[in-house]
Amino acid sequence: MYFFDVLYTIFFFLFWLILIIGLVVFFIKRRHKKLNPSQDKEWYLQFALSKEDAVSQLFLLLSFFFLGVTLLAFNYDFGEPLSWRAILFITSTIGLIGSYYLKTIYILTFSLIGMIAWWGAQAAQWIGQQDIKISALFAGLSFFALIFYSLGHLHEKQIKFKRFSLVYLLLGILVITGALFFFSTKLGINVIEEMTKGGPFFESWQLTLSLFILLIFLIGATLYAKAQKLLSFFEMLAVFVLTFLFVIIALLPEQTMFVHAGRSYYLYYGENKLSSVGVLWAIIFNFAIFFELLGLILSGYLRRETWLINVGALFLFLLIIVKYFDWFFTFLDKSIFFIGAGILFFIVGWLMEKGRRYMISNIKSQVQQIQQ
Amino acid sequence: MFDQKVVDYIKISLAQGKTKEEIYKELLEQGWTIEIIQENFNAINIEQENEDTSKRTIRIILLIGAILVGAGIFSFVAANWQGMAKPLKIGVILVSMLVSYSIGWYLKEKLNLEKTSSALFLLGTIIYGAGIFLVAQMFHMRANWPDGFILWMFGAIAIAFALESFSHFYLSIILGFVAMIGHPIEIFTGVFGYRAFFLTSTFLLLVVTIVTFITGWIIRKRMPPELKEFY
Repeated sequence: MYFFDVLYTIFFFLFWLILIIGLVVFFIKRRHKKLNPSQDKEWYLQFALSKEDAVSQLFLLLSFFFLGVTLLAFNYDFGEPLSWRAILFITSTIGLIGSYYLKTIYILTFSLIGMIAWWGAQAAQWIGQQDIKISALFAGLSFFALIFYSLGHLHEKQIKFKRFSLVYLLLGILVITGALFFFSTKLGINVIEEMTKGGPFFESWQLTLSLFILLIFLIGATLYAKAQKLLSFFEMLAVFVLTFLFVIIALLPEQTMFVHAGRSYYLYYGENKLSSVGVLWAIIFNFAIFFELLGLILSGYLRRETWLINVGALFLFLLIIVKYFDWFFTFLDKSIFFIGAGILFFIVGWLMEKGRRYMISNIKSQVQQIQQ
Repeated sequence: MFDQKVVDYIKISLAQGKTKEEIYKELLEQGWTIEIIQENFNAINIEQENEDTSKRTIRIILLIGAILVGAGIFSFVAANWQGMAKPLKIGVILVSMLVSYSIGWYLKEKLNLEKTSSALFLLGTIIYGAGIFLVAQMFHMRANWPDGFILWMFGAIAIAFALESFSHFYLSIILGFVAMIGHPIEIFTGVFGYRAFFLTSTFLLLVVTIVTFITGWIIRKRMPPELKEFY
């Protein structure tokens, strides 16, 4: 039994590793297939357009990082008038401006991550000062991810910002998918319980104001993208539904998710059973992640973006496998469990191959018809 | 059907900067069928891939050779370090670096052996970097270790520009990231038991910010002209 527990734990924690490696291999493979961007319709999926592009971007990224370290050093020399968070914010802002001026996606990626990290650290401080529930922090980070998704589509119009669009979209999709996936597990449900403990976020005016600004910006960017016809009604609806879900979580009063709620975070095989509220949230998040991934694939199909179909299919495949382990590991005989897992792999693989091929061939034939 | 005439025509046309569509059009006008043109295009691609693989293999072998020789020299120096006088230690470092660069220059300029020479230049830069740390240790310099990587990177960038060598640029990037990661580790963890910026010159950090920015900017200017439309 212990061996299988260890196996499961390893598999669970390898999820993100597999995901990241899968994405890297996916993009590297694409790069090898198509080297010349001027002859490649999907040139924007390449990490670098040429070796000069890669090297110059990496040096500029280094410069951006060293700028942060230099500012920290100056801050130290002058007796630390600023906090490290303020320096992170300044560096990320300069990075954002620089990335737009120089059109460098590497700096853009880290500037956006820096911005999120800055807000997260700042919000954590506000929360710590007033003993506010952490769910507000989570909601703010989700707003950032949804803003990135809408901004990603807004950047699609201009060829010079096509790669920026991909960075925004991928960051947004990864964060939202990761969050939904996490909260669809028992561990995530337990974290929600912990997150809802404490006072409401209205007790901190800074947190309330920043969340309000983020929400307004999110709604504005999404509506503008829709008005520009860069976002379909279905995508806009998905953004607003997810926003609504995260707003609810931020406003949620203290929840009891488990019948014998314990303090332990390691609850996969514990005796703790989900309460009716816990079951409700588990259903909500499991549905949300499933439909989000289906939506991604559908969006890729409607937009004729094969990368979106592939990313959605990869996530869906991982989700199905993880859920199988999550739901059936404890109460199935181990031999049946593994045989079932094998059959599931075959079925999912077969369905994905057929579905993906069907969608991509449809896209290609549509493109050919348009060209004719 | 493979035809040398078609292959030659395609190669010349590609070298002249013609697009695939234009070449197809011209060959069709000359009476060749689409299947034959496609086959010959494929043959060129396979030829190109084989050539690239072969070049890459040579480069990897030479690179491993350079790293092994560098490791061997420093293993020897480290084993006999205590018994060596300071001038001898510096002499070993300087001589091995100069010998490596000189042979590299000779192979490049006189024998036209590009890849072997670039491996030797890289070895010279590795010896230069290791020299920084050995000298610092020899004279008991009180400095922050990531600064050594920054100084090493400066040298590597200078050589990269002098030789137009991308392998030196790649090495500089690796060194830069090691230095850049080293600083925050000290800042946030304090694993070395002292304030991170106590031993680091703020001026050095400012200089490295400017140097890396200018390097990136210059390389960016050298971007192939056909890629300009994407920026």
